[in-house]
Order: sequence, then C-alpha cells, then structure tokens
Amino acid sequence: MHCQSHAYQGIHPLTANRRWFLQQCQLGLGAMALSQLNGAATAGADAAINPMAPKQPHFPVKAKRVIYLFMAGAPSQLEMFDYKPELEKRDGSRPPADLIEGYRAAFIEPDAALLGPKFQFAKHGQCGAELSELLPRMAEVVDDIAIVRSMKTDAFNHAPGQILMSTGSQQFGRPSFGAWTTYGLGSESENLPAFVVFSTGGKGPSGGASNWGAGFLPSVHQGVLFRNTGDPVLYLSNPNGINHTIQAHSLDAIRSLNQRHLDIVGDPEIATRINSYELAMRMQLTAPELMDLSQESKETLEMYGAEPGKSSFANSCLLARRLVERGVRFVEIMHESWDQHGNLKNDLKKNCNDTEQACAALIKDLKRSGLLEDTLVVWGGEFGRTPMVQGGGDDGRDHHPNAFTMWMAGGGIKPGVTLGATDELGFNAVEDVVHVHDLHATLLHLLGFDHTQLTYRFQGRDFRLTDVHGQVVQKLLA
Amino acid sequence: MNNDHEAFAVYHSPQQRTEIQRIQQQIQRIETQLQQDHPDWQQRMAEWEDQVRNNQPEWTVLVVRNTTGDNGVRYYYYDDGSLRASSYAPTQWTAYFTGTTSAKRITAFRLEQLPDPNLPGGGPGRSIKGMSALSEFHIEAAPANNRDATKKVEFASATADFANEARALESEFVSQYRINNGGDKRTYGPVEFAIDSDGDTAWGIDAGPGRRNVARKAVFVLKEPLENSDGTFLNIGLQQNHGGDNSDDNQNHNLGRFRLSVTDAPNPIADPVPLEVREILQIPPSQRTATQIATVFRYWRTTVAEFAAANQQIEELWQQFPEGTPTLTLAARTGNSPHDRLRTTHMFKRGDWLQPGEQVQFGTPDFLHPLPEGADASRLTLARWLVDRRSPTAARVIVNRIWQAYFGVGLVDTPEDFGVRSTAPSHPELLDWLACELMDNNWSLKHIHRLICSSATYQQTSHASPEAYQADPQNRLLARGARFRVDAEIVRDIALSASGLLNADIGGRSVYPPAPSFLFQPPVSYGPKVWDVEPDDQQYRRSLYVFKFRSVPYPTLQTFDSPNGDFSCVRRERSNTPLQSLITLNEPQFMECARALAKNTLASGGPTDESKITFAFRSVLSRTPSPGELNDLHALLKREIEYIGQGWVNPIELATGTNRVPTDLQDGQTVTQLAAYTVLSRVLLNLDETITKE
Repeated sequence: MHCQSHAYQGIHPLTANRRWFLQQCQLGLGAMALSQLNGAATAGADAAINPMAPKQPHFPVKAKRVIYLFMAGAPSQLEMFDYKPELEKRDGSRPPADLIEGYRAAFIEPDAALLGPKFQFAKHGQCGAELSELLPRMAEVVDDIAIVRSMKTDAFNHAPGQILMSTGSQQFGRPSFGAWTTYGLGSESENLPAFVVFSTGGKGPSGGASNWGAGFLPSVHQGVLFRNTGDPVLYLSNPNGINHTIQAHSLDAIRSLNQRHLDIVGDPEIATRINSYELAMRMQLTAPELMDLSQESKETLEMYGAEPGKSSFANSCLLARRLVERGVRFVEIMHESWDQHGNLKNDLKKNCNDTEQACAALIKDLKRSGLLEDTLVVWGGEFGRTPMVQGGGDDGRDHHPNAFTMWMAGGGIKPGVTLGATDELGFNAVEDVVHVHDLHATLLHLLGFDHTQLTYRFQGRDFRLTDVHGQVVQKLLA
Repeated sequence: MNNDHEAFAVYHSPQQRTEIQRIQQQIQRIETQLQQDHPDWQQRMAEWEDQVRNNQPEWTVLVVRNTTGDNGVRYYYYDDGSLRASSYAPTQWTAYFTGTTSAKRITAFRLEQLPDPNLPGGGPGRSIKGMSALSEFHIEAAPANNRDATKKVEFASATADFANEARALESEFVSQYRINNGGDKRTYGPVEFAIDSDGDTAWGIDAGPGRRNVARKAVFVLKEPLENSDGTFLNIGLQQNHGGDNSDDNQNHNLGRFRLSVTDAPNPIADPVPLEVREILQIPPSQRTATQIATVFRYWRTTVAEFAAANQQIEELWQQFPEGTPTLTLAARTGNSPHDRLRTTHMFKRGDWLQPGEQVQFGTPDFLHPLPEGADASRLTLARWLVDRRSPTAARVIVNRIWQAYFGVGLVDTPEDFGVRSTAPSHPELLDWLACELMDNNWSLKHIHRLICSSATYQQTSHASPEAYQADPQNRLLARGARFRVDAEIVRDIALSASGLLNADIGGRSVYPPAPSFLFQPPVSYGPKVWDVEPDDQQYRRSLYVFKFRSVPYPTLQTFDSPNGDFSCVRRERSNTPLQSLITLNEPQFMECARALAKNTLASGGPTDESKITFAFRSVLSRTPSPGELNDLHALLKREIEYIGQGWVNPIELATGTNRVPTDLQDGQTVTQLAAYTVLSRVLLNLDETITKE
C-alpha cells in the first residue's frame, strides 16, 4: 500500500498524474509484485523506499498467501486429534513420578490424576487419520490436510504462549509471522491491507495486538483488524453529513492542491500521498462489496454455516477466502475460546460446533477453486492441554506446553499425513517433535524463504522469526 | 547501583505530599503539646508498659502447607512459620491448608496478617491497596494419629486489633455477575463477619490511607477446646469471597502474608497493642531511639482516657490523609549494609529471565575509559562516568537524536545503536563538533537546538529538483531542507491546534479521546477495558497525554506509526497508507476539527470569501495561499455552496454533526455557508503539506 513504484519505473514524479496512478500504480503494483515473485526479484535499495517491495525468495514459492486459524486459549488435543487408549485405561490414577519430574503447570499440581479422553475416536479418509466425534466435517477433508500431533512449545500461559506462536519469542516486541510474511512477499493488493485480522472468539486473545504487530519491521506490515460486520476497517464510512459526492469533490480538491505542491516541491512522497487518498476512496467503494456475503451461493453459505450480516467464525472464514481472492497476503482469524480448565465436554462440543464446519468448508472451497494449491491454511492454538485433570471433577484440563496438535493444508503441505506421536499418556511429544520454531521455519520455507536468511537489522543485529532456532520439517513438504 | 526493585507502591502527587506533610506536622504538634501538658507522661507510659508487657498468653506458631491444589496460587513459606501468597490471584475462592500441632489442648486460633515488601503497598493483603477480606474462617480438626476423623470446629467469639466499619465493597471488587443474578450484597467490616457462616460478609482491615498497610491480627475462640493427647491435625479453610469477577491483580481481595498460631489459654482476645509496638517493647527502654519512643507514645496516648480530645483531633487529621494511587514503581532495596541492598545479577541465557546464567558484577566496558580509582558503586559515579569527555558517546547520542528530530534522519541513522554494528555517521566531523559544542556549553540542549535552527543547512528550502530527491531520497547529504511527515502525535495535534480546539494544558493524568467502544470489549479486547471518553475539553489534550493500552493501541496514533510500547523505540518508521487518509478524512475528532475551523473562519475570517479562505489556509499551513491554491479553494467553495444548497445533504448535520441549528452565526451567514466551509476546512486538514514538516 505504499506506492513508490514510479521511483523504479523511471517515471518522473512531476509527470505522474492521476491517470498514471490509476492505470499504473494501483493495478500495476500488484501485477509487478507477482512478476517479481515469479521472476527475478530485486529488494536492496528499493526496499528502503517501498517496504512492501517483495524480497528475493530463496526457494520456489509454494504458498503465496496464508490463512491462519489461531485457536487461542489452546484446544484440547486429547479430545480432538490425539487418541490415547492408555490414558483412558489409567483414568483417575496418578501420573508416573518420573514423567512429571520438574514439570510446571499453570494451575494444577503436577501429580493431579490422569483424565481419559472424553470423546470417541475413529479413523477417517484414505489416510486413516484418527479424529474424534467432535470433528465430523473435518473427517471429510483429512486427506487434504497434514496433522502434526507432536507440537511442542516453551510457554504455559496464554499471553507468552500466543506471542511465541505469533512472533517466535515469548517477549513482546518481535514482528509477527504475518508481518514477516508481508515483509518477505510484499503485497498483491493495493486497495486492501496486506495483512488482515479477525477476532471471533468470546473475547480477544490475551496477547492482544502484539499477535499481529509489526514489531521493529516497518509498521505497514502490522495486521489490520477487520470486523466481519459493518465497516470492516475503522473510519471507512464518511462522517455524518458527508455523502459520496462531497467526498469525491473533496478528494478532487485534495488531489489538485497536493499536485500543485508536488509541482513546486518535487518530493515524490507527495505523489505517494495523492495515491493513498485515491486508494482510500477505492477502499470505500469496494469494501462493501467485499463484505457482502449475500453474493455467495446458498450452497456455499450452507457449507460454511455462514449467515450474511452476522458476526461469526464461519463468516470470517468465508471472508478470508474472499480476501485472499482479492490479493490479501495474510488473513488471521483469532478465535479465543478454547481455555477449558473446566466444563471441558460442553465447551469443546460448542467450540467444535462453532468452528469445525467452517474450517472444513474453507479447505473444500479453496480446493474447488484451485486456490488451495498455493494458499497455506494453518490451524492451531498456543499450546495443548494436560493429560491430568483440573478441578475436583473430571471435566477440565490445564495448560500443557509439552505436546499438542496442529494441522495445516495447501500451499506445498503434504496432504493426508499424520506426523509425529506423543507418549502413551499424551504427556510428551516423542516422535518427530515439531517445536514452534520448526513450524515457523517450515511455513517460511513454503513461502519461499530460508528462515535463516530472511532477516531485519534492528538494534545492532539481524533478527529472524526463528531467532537462532528452527529446522524445516521435511516430512511435511509435498 | 543495582539496589532497586519493582515495588507496587502508593504514589502521592506533589500537592498530596505537601498535604501529608501538613497533617504529620499537626499530629506531631498535638502530641508534643500533650507531652508538655503532662510532664509525667514518660512515667505513666512506663507504668502502662509494665502492665501490658506480659499480659499476653503464649501462642504457638502452627506450621501449615497449602492443599488447595489447582488454582494457580503459589506460596512462599518463611522460617517464622508465616506464608505469602503469590502468582495467580483468584478472586472468589477458599484456600485450604493443613498442619499438625503437638499442642494437647487448643482453645483458640490466631491469624496474623503481616506486612511484606513484596505485597502491594507493603501488604498485608494482595489487593492493589494491600488489603484483604476474610469471608469465613473454617477449621476442621482430628487427632494427629487419626487424620480421617476430622470434625468441623465451632467458634464462640472473634476479636481483632482492627476492623473497618461495616461497608459495601469498593467498585473494583463489585461483581457484575452477582448484580445480574440478584445483586451484590457483600459487605465487610467487623471480625465477627468471618465466623458468622455468611460468605457475603467478611472481616475487613482497611484503616484508610496512611494507616492501612500494617500488621493485623484476629483471634478466634473455640466453643469447645480441642483436646488430643497425641496432638491435633488441622484442616484450615480461608474463604476469600470478596473479590471482583475477573481473576486479575486489580480485583482480588486476598490475604497476602499471614501466620497461624494456637494457644491453650482460656478466652484470649486479640492483643490490642500493635505488633510494631510490641516489638519495641522488647527493647530495653534505655536503648530505644527517639522514633521508637514516639511510636510507643503514638499508640499509648490512644489508651489514655483523659487524652480523648487530643486523640479525637488527631483522628480527624488522619481522616484528611490523601488517598494515593497504587502503582508499580522503582523502590530502593532495604538492607543493613550497602552490600545487602545490592541485587545479584545474572546473565540471562538468551535473554530469558527464567534461565539465569553466570553471575555478573557491574563495571564499564574495557574499550571505554575506566571508572576512577576507588570509585564507589553509586549512581553518581555512573552518571559522572557517562558524561566524561574521554568517551563522548553520551554527547554524540543526544546530539544525534536532536538532529534526527529536525532532519528526520540522524547523522547516524541507527540512533538506538552506536555500536560496532551500527551504520557509520554520514558526517562524522559534524557529529563530533556538535558533541563538543554540547559539552563545552555545560550540556545545554537549548544551545544545540539554537545552533541547528540557526544554521544555513537547516534553513535551506526543501523545494528541490526531482533529480535531487531521486539522488538522495533520505537527504543524507543535506543538499536541501528537511521534509518529512510529522510523528503520529503531531498529526493529531496539528488538526486540534489549527482548529482552535487544542487544550494546551501541561501535565496531569492521561486522557481518553473518542475511540470506537468495541475496541475495548470482547472479542477485540481480552477483557473489558475502561475507556470513558472525556466529556469536556480534556479530550482535546495533546496526543502525548492519550492513554495507551499496549494490547489495544489508540487507532489514530497506531495508524501513523506510533509504536505501542512493546519495546524501546527511538526511531519510527514513516508509512504513507490509505488507512491514514481514512483517519484524517473520517475519524470523528478530525471531523470535529474541520467543523471547528469552519466556525472560526466564519467568525474571524474577515468580510470576503477570499479573506476567509486565506484565514483558514493560514490557520492550517501558516502561509498564505498561492493564486492557484486560492483558485482551487474558491472553486470548491462555490461548488459546495451550490451542491449543498440543492438539498442533497443536510447542512446542519454536515456543519455540526448534530441536528441542532447553529446559533452563533453572524448576520448574513447561512448554515449552508458553514457547511461548505466545513468541507473546505476538511480538505485543508487533509493536505500532504499539513502533516509534513518542510
């Protein structure tokens, strides 16, 4: 959204007029970004001028865009993806002492009784992936996704866990994965933000806006919070008393006055400002169409469980598809509602009802339009939940960093794979362990970047999403 | 150096501190007067001391361990048998403990609440004021050799050395959930509330500002003494039901540091003598300091009936003691020797505070000049070392930041980093010359500001050929004047200032200008946040005073690249995006500025359209319009008067944002005209030049 393309298209800023902007800049930049993705790209000096200029990818770009379904609060893998018959058998008994030695939990004492899975599991699809009865629609798409049952993280409280999952560090201040993505790949959309965020849970993520922040990267890379009803972005509507005509008159005058000043001053930043106003106006015109889900077929709406005009996770999933179709690079849906310290059975049932149909629909929908090929879909929380019970009864689990499950699809992910395993009680990930840093390395790889080479210099050193960690998980690559 | 810690303390403003000083002096004066009027006070106090010295039964500390399990509270256990709750703070719950005592007979339990520097305000509780509320005190007992045979213990009476008057809970503890489900009936006050089998009433220990953060005790006497020849196993429940809905630090009302004891004395009561005074009484009178004697006197006088009038006067003074603001702050560590006051410091492995590595001592880098021989470890030593001419880094860094403020980019373009990995200065000699100027002029920042502003370099025009802009986009070679979009805060301040709305007050609390309320409610915010939009001209304070939630940044400032406080930032990026255009076009406060400017323009802009346009233009851009600009604005005005006059929009709504007809128009001026000038003012506030320093 930072249009300085005239600087390297060799067009004299003084000769840049409105027609040129409309023809070349708005429509042109997206196309140029694409051409740079596919062909020879140059970052270097241009990047200093245009932070949205794509970097030279290191590998073939498998994923050109990302839809990240962040299940904040941490869903219980033991009720959804990671079936543990032994845990079922030992329900009510204490965990082995050597297993919990040195273990710290957020709330429970480490020797709280083991709690068996609360739902039935069955194998699905050609790949035979094991899912619980909570995920009937996801069962229909298991052959299109890769399930990682051996995720592992360092944090066991929500805010640091989310920030680690989003930025590669438990401490505030690092750029989010979405920001790194647009930093690396640039923007394909000139009249929409490159990084769009929805929040659809019962509350916002406890890590707050830092989950989609730009950290020390140029601030154009930060995620822009969208609402899924009404004005998608803040201040999109004109103030009271200003109608579209007056807005158009005003923008004519602003452009003319800015152009006069550009003629005298010569600073191309004024041309950029002129363009920003043109784009703002275009955003005002096109956003209502983007947000209008009634344009979707009845069948599509039903598949997602979306209802036009409502605010829901399903609506946001459908909007995510509409956004990536329009060139948005990164869409993140934060759904904070999975923190089942208690009321595990009922709340999980509700959460799965609210989300799993739309997740499956998104996969099907992207697949049928061919977008899944180069769109990466990621689903997961910030950590997992304990095999031990929380609370007096048998209906809650505490935070658990040692093992949890995520799934991903499309964009170069090998479909129909179930990777990794936990021990017989589901306490530790033991086979093909994937740390958050490994996940980040893998996702960046699919976006075309060597995670050790995509860097930004800040406070005297080159920072990476993966800091000094991370191994690409080859088994996940198609 | 290194002798502070992050304390949760009570802050008092300078005015409040003056007030406190006045109160303390007056109390002092009354007490001195009492002593003068009663020259035998020392003898009488000594007699009193003899009476109370041994009037307490023997109490045996009961060592207990927490058994609550999975609610996230963690306890520190101390050698004196006390414990301190830390970490997560549930707000409506019961904490359980078990302990065994060899006492063969128990007639009463004592619960002491003790101050602790780790607690807010010094404790003894965990609320933001360091207070607690004990809803119910539960005991189950069994013979130590048959723990399963526990029986609930009934209490006959309870006494405390202090309890506040019975009252409803303060707003931070009020439960919206309870209000929605029949009302929040909870109260706290007398200690009997802790044994009345009513979880809605609690023992409160809040003695008000200035006197609340001290030790308190309660004694609970049993209906039937516990008799077990082999000792007694005890299961203790401390019910703490008097917090708010959200389990966070701001809404808990929990016990902080406390200790349990038992006695076999018949019918004991809570010792009315404060712990602090008891401790002084242990010291032989001849060894007591003047402060200690004064402390004993301060309590003793309250026990003397004939001092009632003076005591009442002092009590009234205490009632005037100002309520401070509890806040996190740096506080000095306490200890007997300087060495005790130092904190041990470790290298953190990869910066992780949970992984302390090698212990380190403070010192200065070898490649810079050394500390003076035999220098002490004070901050003053460090301060002097920092500004030593032998290593003028501090001077270079500060002049570089001043330069950056004027030119948009520093002479070193990584102002946060002057190390080996920073970029080289564009003009190293200039940087050093400015650094020397700063040091030679007694570190006068004003001197550097004046020097830069009066320089030929700064006074150059920023108008240049496109070739010049292309050759040096960031103007590192300084061939032209600086030209850059101003910082986020100034973008907003310019609109407020140009429209005359700006409230230029200096200092005071942070303010809440208009913002969409949904940002502060779930599902955007994790929990509901308070954002009470200022009803008065506080909302027009400079952006510097806009309240900042790290998790919900203020949209206007964030969109113009204001960092949200996650990390230290001395250099901002400057983006130029359509979202910024939407802010300055449509954000309610910017629109209000356009309306205010239009109103000013009609009131003070002179007789003609040309004079009015020029007035508005100058208000925003501090220069007169060129003929071409005047022409554009004239055309716009004409177009709008015509268009609005045709009735396409409601001019009242456009000009005022409401449906109320403006009453302050001068003769011959129309609402349509005001509406058209509002459009024109909005255009002016949206020009590139308006938010650009050039």
